[in-house]
Amino acid sequence: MYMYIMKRLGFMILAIFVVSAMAFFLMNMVPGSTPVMILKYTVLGLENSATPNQIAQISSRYNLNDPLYVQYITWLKNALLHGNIGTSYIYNEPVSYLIALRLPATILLAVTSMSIAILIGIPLGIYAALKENRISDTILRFVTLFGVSMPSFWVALILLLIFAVDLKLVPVVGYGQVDNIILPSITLAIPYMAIIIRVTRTSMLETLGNEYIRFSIAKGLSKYRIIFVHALKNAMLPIITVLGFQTGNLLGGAMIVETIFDWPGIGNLLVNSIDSHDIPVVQGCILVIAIMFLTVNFIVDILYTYIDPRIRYGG
Amino acid sequence: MAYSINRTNRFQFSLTGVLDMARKIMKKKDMAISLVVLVIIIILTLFAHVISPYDPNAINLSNINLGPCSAHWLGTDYLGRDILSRILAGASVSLSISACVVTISLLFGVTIGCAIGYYGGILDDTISRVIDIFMAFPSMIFALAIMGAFGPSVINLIIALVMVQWTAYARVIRGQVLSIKEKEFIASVRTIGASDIQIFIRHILPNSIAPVIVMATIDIGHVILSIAALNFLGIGLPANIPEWGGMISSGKEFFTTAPFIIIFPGLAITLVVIIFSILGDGMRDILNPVDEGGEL
Amino acid sequence: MQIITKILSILAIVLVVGIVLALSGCVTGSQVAGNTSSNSTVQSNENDTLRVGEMWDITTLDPAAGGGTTIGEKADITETLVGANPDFSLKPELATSWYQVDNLTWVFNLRNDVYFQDGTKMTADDVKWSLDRVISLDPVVTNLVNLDNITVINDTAIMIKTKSENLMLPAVLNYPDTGIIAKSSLDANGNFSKPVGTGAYKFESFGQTTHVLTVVKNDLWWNGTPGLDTLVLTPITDPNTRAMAIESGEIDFTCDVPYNEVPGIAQMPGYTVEKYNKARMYMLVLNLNESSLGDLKVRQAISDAIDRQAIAQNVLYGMGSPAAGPFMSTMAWTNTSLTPYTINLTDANALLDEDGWVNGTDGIREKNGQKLSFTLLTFPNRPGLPPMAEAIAAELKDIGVSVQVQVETSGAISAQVSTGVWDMELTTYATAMVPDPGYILKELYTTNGTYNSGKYSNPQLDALIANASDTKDLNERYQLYEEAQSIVYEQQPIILVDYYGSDIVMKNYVKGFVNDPTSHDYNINPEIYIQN
Repeated sequence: MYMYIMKRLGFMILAIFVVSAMAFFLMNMVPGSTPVMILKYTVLGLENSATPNQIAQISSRYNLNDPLYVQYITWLKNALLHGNIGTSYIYNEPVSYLIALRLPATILLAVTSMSIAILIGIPLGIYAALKENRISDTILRFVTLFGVSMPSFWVALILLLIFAVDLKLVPVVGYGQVDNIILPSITLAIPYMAIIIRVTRTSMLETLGNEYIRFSIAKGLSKYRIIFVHALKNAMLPIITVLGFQTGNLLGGAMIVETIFDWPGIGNLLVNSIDSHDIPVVQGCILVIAIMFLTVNFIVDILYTYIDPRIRYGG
Repeated sequence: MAYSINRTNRFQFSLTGVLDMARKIMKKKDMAISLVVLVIIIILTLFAHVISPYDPNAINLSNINLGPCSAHWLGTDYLGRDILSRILAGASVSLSISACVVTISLLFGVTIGCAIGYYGGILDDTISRVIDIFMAFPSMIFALAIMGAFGPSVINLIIALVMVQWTAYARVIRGQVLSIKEKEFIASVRTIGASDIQIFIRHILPNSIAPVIVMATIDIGHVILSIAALNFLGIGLPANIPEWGGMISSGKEFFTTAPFIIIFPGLAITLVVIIFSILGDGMRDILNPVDEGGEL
Repeated sequence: MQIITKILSILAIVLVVGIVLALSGCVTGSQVAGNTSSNSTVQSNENDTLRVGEMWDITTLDPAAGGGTTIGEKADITETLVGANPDFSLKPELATSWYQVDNLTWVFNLRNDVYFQDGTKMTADDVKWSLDRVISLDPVVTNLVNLDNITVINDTAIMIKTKSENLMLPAVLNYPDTGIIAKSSLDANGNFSKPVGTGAYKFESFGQTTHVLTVVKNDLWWNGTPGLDTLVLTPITDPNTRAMAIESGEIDFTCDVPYNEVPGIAQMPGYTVEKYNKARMYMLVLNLNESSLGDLKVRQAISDAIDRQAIAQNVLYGMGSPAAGPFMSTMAWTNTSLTPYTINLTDANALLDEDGWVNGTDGIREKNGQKLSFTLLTFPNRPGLPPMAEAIAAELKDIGVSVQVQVETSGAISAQVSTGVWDMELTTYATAMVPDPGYILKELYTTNGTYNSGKYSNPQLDALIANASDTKDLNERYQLYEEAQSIVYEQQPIILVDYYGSDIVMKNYVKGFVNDPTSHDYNINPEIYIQN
């Protein structure tokens, strides 16, 4: 077990390096575009062209004329030895500072969405399992099908139209109050809610069909105790697995939702910095996202292998 | 030709197999309906330029933002283009690009997955690590980075999405191959003297392909969603190609005064994704593959 | 069994914590000042606060790093030495007068009654320090000034020496990035920390996460009493969201809501909508190395086929008007004899026929095996551009010219243009970033002009513009520039489409707004006040 964990950790570190290097070289694909973009997004304005002098000034300020591998190795050295992952070209602030500012917003959004998805999804899934093949079950199955199939940006726009513009129930802009998080988190939660409902339903159905359940009924345990204590516990495993493996999609989906609602999170920061070629920020964001993603997967994998054998024996 | 399953879980080409399958499909109503709708959509798409009431790119500046009416069933957009025609045109774009992406990912992924699963050893170890690294990244962000770097074009979009998708297929088929190659009947066939390739094509592949086909079917829908999302962010396809996500993106400025400009493309996306999901689920039940637990 | 219980309880705790955090909103780490995140329907204003929905993200407040327009024109924190009148002629601001000593040297006399917002008096030393800083750090200003050195003559006068004759220098000192800041804007380490200027409002706070800028009345202002107590700028980059925000009452003032919404908002009670043309133009830039575009008749034909009026009406929804020359008619130096281009399909077709372009079987004209077929690049950040590009493409099809529109990011377009492999680009240009006709004429139309991506080269025009920029007498100079305008009007190396219009939307209780056509987007003039 210990060896496995060490191997996985080692792999994680390797993956993070490779990913950050890939991000750096990808962003530098088009030679010469970085100084131009920096100028356009700070002092020049998007439509104006940069003069060779201006390009030279910016390039020397940020060492953009060094060969790519030199630039990358400098970044790597700073990151590993001094914990300094660079300074944003556009904001003139340290990348770690910008990320620390934005990360809580994304985590808040992700956690809220997941909570909504779980709190509503699990009970609905149980309900659907109990009412298997009756009308309410069928309706739920259609609704969940819709839920995973709708494009999130479309859902966001429609919710905005209905709740913010027409009904004026929530504000259109802003950050910091409860009102502001409602629409973004609901938008993000919908596909996961749908998945959780389906998975809960399926695994509840499976578990409820198990022999030991019938045995428990025979023993005289109350129906509720059976459902909520025994069956649900066994059904949790696939649910947890799903949650873990969906983290990637959650982060990707958060990116789109953040862009639409102007939510000041990491996803938004990443999209904007890719646009403006703010390469240090891109690298920083990708680093953080990769770490989060790999860590969650890692934890889920460990949990999975750890729990799995127990389930088989009806624990 | 169709695959069918007999009791030993082997696939067989046979006429009875086809009929068997057809019967199974008919029994599952939602799958049957989906199949019919899909066929209708494909026909509409193939004959889009014949059926379309208007040229999807023809603008009419005096008829902008008209709601659904008798001349334009789904209304017109901000340049007076007929929305119904654009949706039909967009269908062919989304479906063809998506089919391309899925096919290439499948071929690429299955080839690699089979090879490493069958031959194992160092090949398996290194390539599996490479696959893990590819998967170390949320797919949307990966695609975003690639498109951001290379710029919008049909080829770049296909490449970016294939890069994101292929690993899943490789993994799945590898798992299948690993479990099957140890089975006894393979050993017995080998003692008869069959070559590797023969074993592969006639025994291993047919038994392991099912979950991949299920994945591919559902994936078509998901790839359409990804294309729409990337287009929405402005880094998917060049703008003159009508595509549903792009229509939503350019229409969103008008959505308080003319919401139908974005409602219909969104519905189109949802509908198509639902169809492929149902088809995929149905295929899973019919093909009854060895447990893969991947309805997600 | 116990493992599962443990996991479940951890999960439950995470959920509860998450929900509590979400509800309390305390994991935000942001400083939010003013009324910006208050609940939706605040219909009136306590405390004379103006909440502005700003169109660009505020990434920096340092004028030398691109924050000049924000802190100068929109937040009124800083002011420049030189101001501009509505007709773009120059007027004194922090400087009272200026004159040329010799070809390379200018003297600027400064006001002696100006105080910085930190209480210190503004002296020539401060001005020199501020200008030195921005000229060295800001690549655009470096270029525009071409500085040799600045000397302090006395407390209220400075002498600026440039490396080559720069008759545009006073106009350059109107550029917002040259706004004068105090040394106290930097922290102990010499890094920019907050803008301390001389303007009507002074810096109060800036939300690091939300990018909301709050400024308050500056009692030390030399030019009168500011009309507001507080001014809050909230970046809302999406035009639609800006429209929604002002409709729901979350902001009081904004600029550039989607053009199609303007009629609707104008009809709503409680709102004032004003439309203004800006010193900006929609232009179709052509790659003149592309052989057919190098041909005058082809260019004129293309220009004749564009229905500028219909575009202004139906694509820009009235936010704009057909272009004549590169300058708006209200500018002091415009050649007003040039009339707006009108659509003329007969002429267009005739020109192409004359030039030997024959209609091919696919409806596209061709000559000697070459087709009149182009790609048109444009970017989405200005809402009028993509639909305009599509409209132009459709209109050109009518005369047998095939145009394929490609919407890409500004960066991608730059990259492509720099490779030389491109046909057309639809973009906008600010025609008075520096309020002097020489600036844009030189950069767009001279052989080595920075913005001359089409590589137009007309030695006669080069000489004319060089001559004009050396002419000291203002009227003579304007005469020469008017000649230049005639030339480009006729030659059309860049096809001018429409003047850029924009909309200002305000709640009725916002009074005293005066439009400044020289501003980049809009100017919050200090006289604005809230009527209660």
